[in-house]
Order: sequence, then C-alpha cells, then structure tokens
Amino acid sequence: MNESKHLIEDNAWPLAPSQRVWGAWELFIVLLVAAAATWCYVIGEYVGYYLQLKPGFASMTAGSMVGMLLVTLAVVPPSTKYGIDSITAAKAQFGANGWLITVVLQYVSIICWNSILLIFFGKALEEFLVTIGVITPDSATVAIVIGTIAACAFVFASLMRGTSGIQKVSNVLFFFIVGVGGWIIWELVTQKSDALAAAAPAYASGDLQWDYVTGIEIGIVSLLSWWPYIGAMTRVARNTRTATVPAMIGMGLPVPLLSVIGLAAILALGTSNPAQWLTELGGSFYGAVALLFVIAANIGTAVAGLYASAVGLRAVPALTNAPWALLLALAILPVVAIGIFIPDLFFSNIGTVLAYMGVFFAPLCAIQIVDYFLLRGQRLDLRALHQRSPASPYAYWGGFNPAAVLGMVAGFATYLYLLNPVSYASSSPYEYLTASIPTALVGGIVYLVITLAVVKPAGKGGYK
Amino acid sequence: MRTADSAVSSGHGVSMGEALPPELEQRLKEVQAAADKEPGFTGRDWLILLLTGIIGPIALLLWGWPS
Repeated sequence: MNESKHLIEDNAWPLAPSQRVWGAWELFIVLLVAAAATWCYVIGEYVGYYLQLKPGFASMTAGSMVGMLLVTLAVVPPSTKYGIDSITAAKAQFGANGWLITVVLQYVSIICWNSILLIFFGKALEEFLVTIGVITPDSATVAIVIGTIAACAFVFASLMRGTSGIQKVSNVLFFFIVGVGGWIIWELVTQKSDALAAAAPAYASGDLQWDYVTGIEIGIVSLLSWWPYIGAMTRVARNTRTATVPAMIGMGLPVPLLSVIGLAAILALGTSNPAQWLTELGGSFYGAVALLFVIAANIGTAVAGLYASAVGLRAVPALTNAPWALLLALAILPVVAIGIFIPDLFFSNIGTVLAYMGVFFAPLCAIQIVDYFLLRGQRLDLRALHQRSPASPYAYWGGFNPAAVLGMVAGFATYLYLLNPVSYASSSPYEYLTASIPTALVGGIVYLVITLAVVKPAGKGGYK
Repeated sequence: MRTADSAVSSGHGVSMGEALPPELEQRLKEVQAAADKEPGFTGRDWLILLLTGIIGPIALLLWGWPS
C-alpha cells in the first residue's frame, strides 16, 4: 500500500494512530483553506448592513472567536483523542439512532454551503471569462452552469484520493488566499477610505447596542457552522495539543479577517457581488486575478465540505459498505442539481441559511461540551460508538437519548424566542446576550439536568 | 475467530458485548491504547482557548464599541 493510499480513510471507523499524520502546520493550512471562502463576503456583507467598518470588524471577529471556541470545545477533544469525526462523536450524546439527527444536519448544511461555494465558483468563472474576453455576457448563464458542474467534477475527483487530496489542494491554494486576500483589503482601504468613513449601514436599527450585538451574533452563527466540517479534519491531527491553535487561529480567525472584505465592500461600494467590486477595484487585469482567488478559495472549502459530508454518510447503516465514489456522489449531486436548476433562488436566501446554522448548532455544541467534560470525564466508550445492538450503552431508549433531543428542542425554542432567523426581529434580552449564547446555555443545562435526573439513574448512556 | 469480548480490552471507554468485524476490533484496540495516553487539552491549550475565545473577544468588543 503506497503512502497516498495509506492516508485515505473513507469509512467512519476511527483513524488508527499511524493514520493521524497531520502536524500543527499541516492542519493549520487545511483548516485555513477550508474556512477562507466566498461565504466570508456574505458574512461581512450582513454585518455591514448594521455597522460601520470598525465596530463591524470588532463585533464580527469577537463573535467568530466565541463561536469557534464552542465548536472547538465540542469537537476537537473527542475527534483528536479517538480519531473520529463530528458525527461519530455525537453518537455518545444522541444515541445509536438519534445521531442520525446530526447526520441530517451535517448533510443539509454542507449541501447548502457547497451550493453557495460552487455556484459562486461558476459565477466567478463566468465573470473571469467575460473580463478576459473569452466569452460574451450573452452566454453567461450557460457558462455559470458549466462552471458549476466543472467545479463539482473537480472536487469529486480530488476526493477520490482521500485526505491526501485535500492536503495537496490546500497547500496550493493557501498562497492564493493569503496573497490576493491581502491585496483586496489594501485596495479597498486605500482607494475607498472616504466612502468607508462616510458610509451609513443600510439596515442600522438606530440602537447602537442592538446593532453591535447583531454583529456579534452574525459572527457566532457563522463559525458555529464549522461543526460539520472540523471533525473530519482534526481527527487526522496527531493529538489534541496539535489541533488547538490550528482550530482557533487557522479556522476561527480567517473568517472575520476575510469578511472584512465583504464588510468594506458593502459599505464603500454598496454591492455584495464580488465579481463586480473586484473588477471595479482592480480594473480588468487585477480584477481577473482576484476572481481567480475567489475561484481557488471556493474549491478548497468545497473539497473539505464534501469530504466531511461523505464521511458522515458512511456512518449511516445502509451506506456502511457503499463505495467511496457513491458517498461522494450522494454529497455532490444535490449541489449539481441546485447549481443547474435553482442557482438564483438559492443565492437570494443565503441569509436565511446562515441564520439557521446558529439555531441548530449552538445547542448541539453545548450538549457535546457538557457531556464530554462534565458528565463523562473526557472519555467515550469507543466500542459503543460502533455498536448498534439494544445492549449498547449508547442505545438509550430505542436508540434515542431524550436528554439530547429535549436539549435541542429547548435550544431551538430559546433561539426563536430571542431572534427570528429570517426577519431578525428580536426579544429581550437579545440586545445584551445575543441569541446563540443563551441558546447554547439553555440546551446544555437541559441536557445536564435530564441526564442527571433521568438518564444516569436509569443506567443508560454508559455513565460512571 | 476471536470473539468481540476477547479481542478488545475492557479498559476505560471500551464496552463489551456485540461482535464487530475483526478489522474494526483491531482498530479499536489500537485507538483505545493511544487514547489512554492522550491527556486532551493541556494547560497551554486552555490558556490559548481562554485568550482567543474569551479574553480576546472581550478586548475587541471594548475597542470597537461604537461610541
């Protein structure tokens, strides 16, 4: 078995110690490339609707790091200790059947993210080809569809090589992301400083505190959406210590830093379309180069997302022995369909997609943190994670852990009370606490109380 | 063929009972042995988490407050 083949792990089994080969720097690069994608522009754009550049950057970055802290605490310790992904780790909390809830969450969220990324790839490619004169604007629609399909095919082909495929793609794209991203920010700040200073956020409420908290909230929910991604990558790290800095700095910080581009662009130029403001800022040549950055960044993230989704699907009993290519196809074909049939409808609802990430992933993270650190003493029953019999410690009742289900429901209700994910209408104390942090607290507390009062006394869950 | 119970140790975090594929049993044994030596977050890690996930964000919020 050659080296690259050895690195391929396309099942949900825990990675053997010999397969966990990524050091801190390698993991840092992979996580950085996974985080740095077009959604950063969208995140920055949404913050720019409420806040100017400085408070927007501060609140978005602070919120992002808080969100990343929750995801890191929830996923990194079990994934690095046992070589398992986010989904497998969740079996301990949700049960031998209940963990399918997390599979669905992961599958849907990654399809949504990959649709955004790869359709954006198609749009950027179309803009690039128009800019360099290869095609005319008349053929844009066809170019977008072809570009999206080509991107899906490239991502699929990359992942037929497993995690080594991710690493090779990531190493190449890293330089594009850092270099061109820095150039874009420089151009925005130097060319549009007056416009930035005078900009008035379009949807500012008039209450600075509410706007500021909303900037924090957008940062938190954006980074909570890393839950489905991170486990598939950190499980390849050598140990927990290796993964801590890459997770917080490599995956947490790039999003707000790159989101500044979208934040500044919406404030200074009034448009959220990178293809437009890149060519406006850089002219035809440099704009085209910047579009290449958009293209490159999206591919790296889509590769990571597809890999995580396929590994998650492997854990579904009916797909345990399915070919790796089939799992990849199941994860990428919905993206192809969306890219062909409803790309514009999808793009007009990105904000809703973002908001719902927080609704689900805030309580999910809290439940995992409470369970792993407070209830299990940082130990999982590795064998039980792979058992399906009713005698398994993680069988709970009918394969479902009521503590996790009720924790999710309580968190969901809390979030909806505090903040409407679609309209952003809020109820107090949102303006002091955000929506995600109370949601996580409520979800975690409900889980803790029910586990101590019901689950543990019943001898379920394998608690000592 | 070894049974599940004999293939996997009964140390921390490993349950008994249902038979699993022999390759998986072997994998679990290897992973468990490594996990038993893995301390999780160290003091340095907790400090990094505290600085980047709590203190840093608080400082940023104070700096960026729209006065």
